[in-house]
Amino acid sequence: MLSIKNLHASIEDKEIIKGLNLEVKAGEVHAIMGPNGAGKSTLSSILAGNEDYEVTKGEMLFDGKDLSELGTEERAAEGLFLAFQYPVEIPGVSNMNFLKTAINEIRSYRGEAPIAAKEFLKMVKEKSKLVELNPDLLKRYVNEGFSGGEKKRNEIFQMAMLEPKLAILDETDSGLDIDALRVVSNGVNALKSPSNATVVITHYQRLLDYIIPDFVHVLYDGRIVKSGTKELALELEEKGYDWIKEELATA
Amino acid sequence: MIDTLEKTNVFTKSIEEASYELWDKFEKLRAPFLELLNKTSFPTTRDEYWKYTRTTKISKSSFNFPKKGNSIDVEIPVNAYVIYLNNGLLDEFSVIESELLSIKSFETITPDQIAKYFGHEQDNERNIFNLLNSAYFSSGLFIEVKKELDKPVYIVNQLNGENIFAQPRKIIVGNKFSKATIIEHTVSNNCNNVLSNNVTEVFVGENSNINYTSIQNEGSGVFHLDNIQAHQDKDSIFTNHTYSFQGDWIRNNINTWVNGENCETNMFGAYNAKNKQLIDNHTTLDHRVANCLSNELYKGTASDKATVTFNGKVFVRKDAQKINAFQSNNNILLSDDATINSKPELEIYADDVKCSHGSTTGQLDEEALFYLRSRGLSEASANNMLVGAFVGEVIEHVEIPELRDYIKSLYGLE
Ligand SMILES: Nc1ncnc2c1ncn2[C@@H]1O[C@H](COP(=O)(O)OP(=O)(O)O)[C@@H](O)[C@H]1O
Repeated sequence: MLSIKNLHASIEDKEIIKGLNLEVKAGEVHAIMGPNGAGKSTLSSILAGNEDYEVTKGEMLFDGKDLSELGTEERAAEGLFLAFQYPVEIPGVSNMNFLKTAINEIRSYRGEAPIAAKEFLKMVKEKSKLVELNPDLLKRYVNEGFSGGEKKRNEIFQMAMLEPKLAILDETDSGLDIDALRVVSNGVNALKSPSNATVVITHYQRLLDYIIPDFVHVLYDGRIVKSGTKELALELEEKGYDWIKEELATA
Repeated sequence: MIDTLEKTNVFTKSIEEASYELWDKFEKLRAPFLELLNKTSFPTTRDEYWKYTRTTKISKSSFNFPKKGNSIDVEIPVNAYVIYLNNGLLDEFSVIESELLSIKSFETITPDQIAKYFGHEQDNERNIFNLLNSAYFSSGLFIEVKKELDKPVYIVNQLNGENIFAQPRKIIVGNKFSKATIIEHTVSNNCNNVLSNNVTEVFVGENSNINYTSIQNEGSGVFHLDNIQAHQDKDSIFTNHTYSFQGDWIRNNINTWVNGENCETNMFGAYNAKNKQLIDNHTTLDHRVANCLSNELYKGTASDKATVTFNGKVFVRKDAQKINAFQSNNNILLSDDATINSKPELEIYADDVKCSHGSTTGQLDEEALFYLRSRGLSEASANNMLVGAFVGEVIEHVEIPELRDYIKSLYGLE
């Protein structure tokens, strides 16, 4: 589904992603871990199409389509979703209007008719329940005045509404207490299917107790330097990242 | 066809050939303004008040005394007392007279009835368009609000045709303890060189509450001026809303004189100027006495090659202590070729006052744009949504829900 080969990317002439490879197949859950500053958020921004970053080399294919040829909204319409680490507040834009517009523009991209009002409301009810998001929040402006946890739930709620093929969760666990973590993870797990995939970016193992990854990758200095199964996450939790740095130094 | 406005003498002569019955009837009221008009020339951009808005295209044009054109279908979003103007003339008007409200045309009143209101206090020295209307109004409405109205008054201002000189005059008097919302909604169809020069004089009586809302939704081919003069007596509230849409030349001159204590004045406006539109809002608020509150919020955008001007002047006179005056103008510049001129001005001569003014011109929030696009919104609709949210803050102040929704829909908001 997602195939990243030898990706190099920079911002303001500073290279941050330095030859990254990653293969994600349908039905899989991947975790990307790594120390602060390794380039995890940068990777998710680049995948979502943030134009502040310049891809200088390599390729990113999504279902065979070259992502760098697609604008941010086209990537969304193709089924790519990024749950932001810091969801932005947008005063004056109502959650409902925003979501409905998003769904309809994606539908129109796919040559489908707009969603019926009734169907939309039914879906909102169902999906907000899934992430235990207070429906009153949806009447408010996008993320405005939401607590940290509410913002993260809203991200997963949007993901549930848009039903992406590939969801990238950027530090979704940061700022969540244990209850919220459980709720958000339950939501993500409920949305899992053989035809979609999830990439979880985190630097704590904690989240992976709830969202069980098939693969764990260590991102360090702009590259994936080690891959393994969920046991790798436990090892990282226990030993930190220094041993990886040492391994790299001696290699 | 009358000669160009610029040559006022020629203009006077030829327009008088039109020998409009109302002009004869109101000759005494008109005379001093006519005399002043003949001594006044059109402003240039060297005049501070007209620095960013040229009137040459108007002064060099020729216009005809109006004839009614075809009527235009307009959705009226609220249950209201509806009055139709067509090219500045009253259309199928009949007098409204009840214990709440009286609306009469100038045809049905005597000059004495409006003598103390007509041209009562105006900024004629800087605004020739007041004089033009006072000398040559094309129709007149005398609206007396007697009590709290059961529904708003809705004036549909239809423009339709070529080389038309439409100059409706409105006098609105709010009696003691009365309350009303008066909406003026301008629309146009196939216009070319139409001057819509409106003068509205509002007398906000003691303890009354008058709201005047102008929806400027004409298309191209119209020079639109709203000249509003409001006079507030003590304990009154005056609220003005001005929403400008796609007209290609719009200039609003909104003046409020606060003559009595414990008054509240609100001024709201929003605009999204596109293409080569010119939208210019000039407001003047004169706090002459103590213990009053004023609140002004104008917001909008300029894209393409549009020009937007805001000039808001607030005077707080020497003895006008304990005034709270807030003013803010916020703009978003959506193109490098667009121009925004924003000039808030406070002139304060009293010492015990709380005043603030602010003007900002910025860009759309890139982070918000990216967020919306990452959910599938095209760049254009993400832009629209953010622009809508930006001006929406102003529209939230419209009190009548149906009207608020309607104005939102005109801006493409939900
Ligand atoms: N806008 C930016 N300008 C300059 N450097 C940046 C910018 N964004 C990120 N970086 C740098 O890129 C590196 C990777 O950052 P980031 O992707 O946020 O790492 P992580 O998410 O793994 O903590 C860091 O060294 C950071 O300082």
